[in-house]
Amino acid sequence: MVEKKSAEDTEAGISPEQVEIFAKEKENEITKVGENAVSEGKQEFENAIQAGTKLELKKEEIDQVAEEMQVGKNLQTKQEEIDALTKESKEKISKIVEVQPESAQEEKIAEKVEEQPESIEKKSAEKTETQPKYSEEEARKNWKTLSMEEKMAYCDPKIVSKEMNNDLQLKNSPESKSFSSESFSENSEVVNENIRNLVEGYIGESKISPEYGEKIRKSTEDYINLISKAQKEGSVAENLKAVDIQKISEDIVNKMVYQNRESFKRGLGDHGVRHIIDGNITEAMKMVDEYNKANPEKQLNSLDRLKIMTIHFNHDMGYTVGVNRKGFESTGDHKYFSQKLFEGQEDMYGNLFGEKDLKQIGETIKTHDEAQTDFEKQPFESIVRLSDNMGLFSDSKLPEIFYSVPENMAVLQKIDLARKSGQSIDGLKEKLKENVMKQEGFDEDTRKALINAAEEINKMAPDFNLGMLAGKLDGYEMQGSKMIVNIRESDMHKQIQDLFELNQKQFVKALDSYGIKLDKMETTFDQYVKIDADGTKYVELPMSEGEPALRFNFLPEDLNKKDERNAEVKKKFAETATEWAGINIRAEINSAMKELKESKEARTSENIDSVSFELQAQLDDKKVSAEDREQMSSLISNLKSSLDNEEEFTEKLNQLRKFLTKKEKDFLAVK
Amino acid sequence: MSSQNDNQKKIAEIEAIHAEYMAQIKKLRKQQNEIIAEFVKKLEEKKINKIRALLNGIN
Repeated sequence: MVEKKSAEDTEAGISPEQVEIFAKEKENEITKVGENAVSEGKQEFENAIQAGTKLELKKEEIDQVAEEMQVGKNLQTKQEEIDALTKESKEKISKIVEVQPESAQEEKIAEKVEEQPESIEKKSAEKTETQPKYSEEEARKNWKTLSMEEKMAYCDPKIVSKEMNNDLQLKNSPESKSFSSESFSENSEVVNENIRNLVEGYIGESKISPEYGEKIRKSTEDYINLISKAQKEGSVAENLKAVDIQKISEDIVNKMVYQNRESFKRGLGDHGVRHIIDGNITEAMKMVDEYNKANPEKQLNSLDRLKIMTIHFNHDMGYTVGVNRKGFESTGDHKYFSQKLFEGQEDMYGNLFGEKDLKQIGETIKTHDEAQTDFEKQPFESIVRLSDNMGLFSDSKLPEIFYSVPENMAVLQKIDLARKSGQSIDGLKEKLKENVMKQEGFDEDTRKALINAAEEINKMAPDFNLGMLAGKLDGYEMQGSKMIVNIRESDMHKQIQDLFELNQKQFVKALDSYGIKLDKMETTFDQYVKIDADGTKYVELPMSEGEPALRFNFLPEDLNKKDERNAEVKKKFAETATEWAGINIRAEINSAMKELKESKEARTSENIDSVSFELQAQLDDKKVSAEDREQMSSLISNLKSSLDNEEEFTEKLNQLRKFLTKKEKDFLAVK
Repeated sequence: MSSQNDNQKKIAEIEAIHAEYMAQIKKLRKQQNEIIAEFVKKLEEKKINKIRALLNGIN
């Protein structure tokens, strides 16, 4: 409500008092949100402890888990961060109001400034040229403390453009045919041909694979053809120049090739061709078709489709900015960078789009990952956001490193096993690299990029990557102003769900991004979903007043549509699991340690001897060698010397927990 | 007119700070929830391990 008021006032003119009231409102809101966030954290912690009690765990056991995980300390740090952020934001707002010219004299000064528009321009130019406060590495560490203006200093459109041009430089310039006249409509085929030559140039010099190159060419051709269609509809100018459209089309090709190359370098998330073209644009166009079928009187036209494509081509460009190439501290702000980069090219895109359209494109780039959905009032923005949010359910985001090298899916499974056993994953990362080196069919650049991606893999990779395979998008249908999204459980999902205990994690995540927090509601996905007369599980999201704007149907696996890749992955998973089951002694060790870990009274010399005896008797000679047995005995004996020192005892118990046999070490590539 | 522009700019700046705050607080709340979710997961694991150990004992 407040936002609406401010927008109207902006048009009508605002008094200093109104600014002050508005600032106060926002400050109060920030205080309230901050306080709620902190008390919510405390309450959730209490709930978690109660959940532990319901599980019939003893207080000591709950405390022990909390202590091991440092939950209290981590929560406190988070709450301090919330307090600091709240304080900082309020101070920033107060500062803006403080410099409010209140007296007539100050008004006069302000008017004088008004009389010199160039000084304002200069000031604003200076503002945009703010120098980065830290080096990129330092900035990532301090990202949360930076203001938006300081953050934006790390996104220099000139540098991004220079880096992109350097990366895409071709030894042989592609052939470019001349136009028969200035007119685009008379030369659209020539533009298409020149774009084809450019893409072939990139394929020829291994900047992109033939498969992805073809997808980029086809998508750019669709874009060029849409411009022709929009001209016929009268939604874009009739007198477009061929040279201008060629420049825009080249820009799209360059950005797609570049984003794909950059995306190869990151293990987390794919922001290349599969995400943008196979995922977002394909899904968005299907949504436009459905919307238009249901709304014949207010259809989205070719210009709208062009704008949607332009947004998707540009929305993740912010990931290519230097500070976002490493770490994850700053990547959440990629959308602001993407908007800035696009706005820096408004001269070029202004040759196709009007001022209002450019503004809408920039704004929607900035809000592309938001949840707000309203097909009645904002169908355009809703389609952009929904298509991006649905990326979770098209496998378009599965990172290259796993997708390109099937053998690496098994390594991912081992990373999960290593994580659960508290082991280092460095050896497995090396294994990933070896697999990439062995795999045939990569050009040198792709191989290098995949090696870099392997470096970035962390212990959370299985959750992140495999969770993305939960389900698949299976069409849309518009009913009035409600979009129905069909999500079909993928056959791969079941095995992954069992293996990595993901349950309905991705469905839960999708609901979470639309503000439905099942954990807070103390309910599970299966309890939350409704079931209609046909037995279909569904969730409706009331995004605006009145009717729900979105309905997700969760459909069971389609037995007639098996994914061919799954058989290989399933086999690989099963092989790895069988191999691990045949060699690992995790259960035996944990069971032997249990009493010593849980009960202080049990920590006696006699008990330790008996644990040692029992463990050795339980272990199968197929799993452990004589040398392994010897090492284990020595670790257990070490416990005796620490009986008087609880801290030392826990540490030695931990060493025993982490003990790996020779076979386990080889399997998990631990040196 | 000048102060009008100034005031409009200020409103826009306040809105930007507020929007940025909401985005950041959303992330922090999410991280906070993740800490707790991980804690609950570990408690559940502990419970499962207890049951498993019990079953091992029976077998």
